[in-house]
Amino acid sequence: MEFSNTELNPNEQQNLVEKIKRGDETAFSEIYRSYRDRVYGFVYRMTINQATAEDITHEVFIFLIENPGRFQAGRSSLLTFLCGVARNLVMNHLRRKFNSDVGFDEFENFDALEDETKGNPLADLLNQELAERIETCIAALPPLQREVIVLREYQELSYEEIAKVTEAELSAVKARLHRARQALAKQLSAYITTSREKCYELH
Amino acid sequence: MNCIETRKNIESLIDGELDGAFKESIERHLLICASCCEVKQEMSSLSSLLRTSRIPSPSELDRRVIESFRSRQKPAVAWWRGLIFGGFVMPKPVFAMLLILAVAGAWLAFQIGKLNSTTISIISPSVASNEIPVPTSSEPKIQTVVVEVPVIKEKIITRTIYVREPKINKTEKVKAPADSKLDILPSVNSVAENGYFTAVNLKGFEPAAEMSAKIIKEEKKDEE
Repeated sequence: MEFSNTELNPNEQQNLVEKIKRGDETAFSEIYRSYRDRVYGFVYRMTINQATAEDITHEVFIFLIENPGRFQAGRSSLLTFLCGVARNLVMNHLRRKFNSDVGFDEFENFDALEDETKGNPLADLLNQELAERIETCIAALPPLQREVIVLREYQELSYEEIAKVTEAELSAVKARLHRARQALAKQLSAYITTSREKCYELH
Repeated sequence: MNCIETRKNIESLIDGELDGAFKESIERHLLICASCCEVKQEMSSLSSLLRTSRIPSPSELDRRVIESFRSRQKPAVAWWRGLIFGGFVMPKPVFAMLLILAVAGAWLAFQIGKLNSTTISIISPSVASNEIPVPTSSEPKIQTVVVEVPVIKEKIITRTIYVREPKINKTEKVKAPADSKLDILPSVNSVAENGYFTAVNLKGFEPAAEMSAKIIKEEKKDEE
């Protein structure tokens, strides 16, 4: 099975969903191939656990199979719809994990993160470990900031689409995105200093 | 465009959320302001850095999702089953059992119908019921009389038939057994002295059974 991240146009989306209602496996496969990586990527970056990400992505597509009528092409794109479903499942998972809504918005684990990585400075030199570092930094963000940064940077959704997925105001999306970027820039500053120099070279 | 306004919108610019004159004014400011340019470079670099992150491919997800899709599809219903049961999908063993019961029921109904619709013809010698004239002539004569038998299921109906029995003076009364089936049972000697005996016991006439009786006129009843 080949996968792509190419977004289907709205007419294609609507036609394929109509076919899914009639049990057309080919139509379902086409949607699955087009959106698997993006849904799975979003869920993985929110949970940082492969097995959990697979379970939740599985549930997202089951939701589509069982409720194709819930998707309305005029109101949102299929990606936004699937990410919205994924987002709800992820937030439920994270709430269960934290076992309380208290502190859910404020959770930030950068202190623990620094303690964890201080003992191994050479690891940051390797790309794989850099990727792990980024992953860990994103995971340390509060969930509401994490979801907007993942939806923007990895899913490449517009602010408006992010607002639909997260059911938040546009201004709240911008504010969360800004705070998330500030936190990540601080944690990953060692990797972005060279860019600053380029800027001064231009002027 | 000043630095404060520019920095507020740098992220929107990087994210492609700006357009038109406003976007151009910010871009012009970034060309002349090293400090704002630094902020923009930092944000752009952060975006590029974040996108270097790779995630492991799912292992079992494809199989699970496709299996889930297939398991949730309704099996195709044969058109003839659709006609009988509509959209209801009946388990095969139940359907087979109902089919067997239907066939057995149809066979049973056929047998009962066949039994009840039998027309009894009494060819000779016979006379039926009180309305039938008693034979009076010594010349054998065949007369056909149709006898209508009341239709009451499982009830024994008795009719009297006069039959010539010249050599037997004594007759005996035989009671029809309860389980007899459409048998004509000669019995009853209510007029034994004049050489006739009566009785036909019939059971299970249904529906609207008819009895045809042929009367042989032989002798007058009084002559005996």
